[in-house]
Amino acid sequence: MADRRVPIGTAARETGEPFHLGGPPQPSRAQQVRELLAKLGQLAGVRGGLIVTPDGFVITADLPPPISAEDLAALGATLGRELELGVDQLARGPFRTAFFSTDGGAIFLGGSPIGFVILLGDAGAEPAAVSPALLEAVARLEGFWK
Amino acid sequence: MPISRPRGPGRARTMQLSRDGRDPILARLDGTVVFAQCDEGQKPVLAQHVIQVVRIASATLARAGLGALRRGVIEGAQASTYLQTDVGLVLALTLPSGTSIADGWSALGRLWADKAQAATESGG
Repeated sequence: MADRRVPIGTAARETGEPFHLGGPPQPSRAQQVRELLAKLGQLAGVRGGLIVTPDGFVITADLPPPISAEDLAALGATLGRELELGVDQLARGPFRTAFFSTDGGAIFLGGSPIGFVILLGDAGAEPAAVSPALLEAVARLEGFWK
Repeated sequence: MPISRPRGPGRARTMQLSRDGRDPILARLDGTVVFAQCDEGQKPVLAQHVIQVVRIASATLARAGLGALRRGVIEGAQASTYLQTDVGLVLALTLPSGTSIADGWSALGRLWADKAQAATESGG
């Protein structure tokens, strides 16, 4: 009788992970989303971020303490929805990205049908560098669900 | 496309805007519109949107521990709205997509010097 046990670490794969018969295993969607956020976190001046659904649920987050992901997700999603609505009503074309700055930092927000990507930056975060990277990340995020 | 569109005696006081800028609006955060130069029907929508964005963005920045909102850019596929806020006022100006951020800030800065400082000094 064949041994049906599987190695530790492969027994409880995430739901929805594609089944592959050959070749290297594909990263799960959750892993891809985490990697996407981690890559954005490497941009100069970016201190962390999160990805939230349009109704404010956290998909993934990597924020410096003591910032609460849930609180920021709710506000970020509210802001994102207002931006999408306003840009549409005022005929500015589909909403792409936004950023809002203070004397000490900034938040960046990119929108997609999947949800919003929100980044926190310090005073060194350059919109000219972060916004295009955010736009690219949003496009990749949409691609994960196709 | 110049955006100054005088429509009568009340509109005679036009202003110089950067090329292709449109829909400038200066409002108080309590919802009062101090100055706007856009289609009449669009003015309440524009004012409500700008003020609402400033309120929510301010709350989000505060929750992130980043301090008070100063400036922002909302980028649509066809146009971007630049905004600046201080002393209970918010000023917004829409520029074509592709305008450099530096040029956007520059145009907004000139408008702020023209309109917002006057509103601050006059107390309304």
